[in-house]
Amino acid sequence: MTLLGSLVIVAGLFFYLAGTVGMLRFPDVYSRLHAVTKADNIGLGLLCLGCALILRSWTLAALLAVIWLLAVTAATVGCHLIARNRLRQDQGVE
Amino acid sequence: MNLFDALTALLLVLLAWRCLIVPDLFRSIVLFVVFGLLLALTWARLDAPDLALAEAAIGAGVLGVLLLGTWRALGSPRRGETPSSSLPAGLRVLSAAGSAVLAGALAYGLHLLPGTGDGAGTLALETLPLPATGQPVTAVLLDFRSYDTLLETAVLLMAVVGTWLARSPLLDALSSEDATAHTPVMPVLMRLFAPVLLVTGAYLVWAGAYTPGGAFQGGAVLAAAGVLLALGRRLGTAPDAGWLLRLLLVLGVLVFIGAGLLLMPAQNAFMAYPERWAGLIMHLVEYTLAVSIALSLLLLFTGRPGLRGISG
Repeated sequence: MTLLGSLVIVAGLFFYLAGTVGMLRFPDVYSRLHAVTKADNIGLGLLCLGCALILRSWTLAALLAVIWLLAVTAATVGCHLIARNRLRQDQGVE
Repeated sequence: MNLFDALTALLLVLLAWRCLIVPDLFRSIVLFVVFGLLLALTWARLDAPDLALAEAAIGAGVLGVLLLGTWRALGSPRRGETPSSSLPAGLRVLSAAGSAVLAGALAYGLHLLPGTGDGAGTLALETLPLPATGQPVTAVLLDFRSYDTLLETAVLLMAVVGTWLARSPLLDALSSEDATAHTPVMPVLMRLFAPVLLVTGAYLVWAGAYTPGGAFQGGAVLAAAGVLLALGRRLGTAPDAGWLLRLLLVLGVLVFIGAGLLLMPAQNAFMAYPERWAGLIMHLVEYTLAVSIALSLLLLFTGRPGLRGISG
């Protein structure tokens, strides 16, 4: 179980790495947002799953799931608001 | 000290340095928030979850919101125009040398301190044989350091009054062109997050007597729920505070002082509680303080004396 959890966490870290590289390398705000929110959400999910597997407790697993859901929701709304603001700025300039 | 702790310490210094020297005000604020979160992580690593919670909720959360609001009220054309320091080079070198000497002296003094295992928390648990306050930090804050806590909340109250007098309301600076207005996502977020924040805040206050948490941490989370509602246009400002709002604002301090004064004839000292009632009194003070702190922090954000609900 610990080995499986560790593997899942390492996989999650890979997604974080990919998201960070995307944020640094992608050309504009929209694709950067895309990279960060998508990849990091999966990364956090895998991280929570790995921790739950290692800790072997249903209570903690449920709490981690709630944390993940809240973080995903917040990230989605934040992404939406930033993209929307940027879109308005772009339209205003044209 | 392992690799992780060393990295955290290094990052903290790096972030603080960047936060101070970066020319763009907005970046500086973002760095400050990141610094606060990392500091919270550091406190958690040092086995001080109370401080970690307080730092994350107040240092990174509420302060970040206040700074961003102020930045916004300054007007976005000014971004990136922050003038660089105009101090002469000699003065800068002098202040740097002074700071370095102070830091060195502090480090030396800290190094000389004897590291005793019995901190204030152990002492509090030993001298307070109360089942209601099994949490040493809360016991220390409300019983040993009651003057500190009382004065802290009074200072917060003064800050709110000062804000009313001095600052133009931040929320009024948000125009209808704002990104948070008229988006279908905000109501969903509020419906989902506001109850969660309220429950979490109330839990932190309630749990303060048993586990890490307390009036300041819980109050900050409750205030965050209010900030969310204000940003989503469900909570508006009013030019005048009603009597209920004023009462709730000062309730914590009033109950704190009242409990201390009322028991003075019996105990012969200000804020000395009889052993049987100490747990109950501390709970009462803690809950009322949390309400007052939450409202104070929220009003610091909205910047107007009154609050009103907006339906729809």
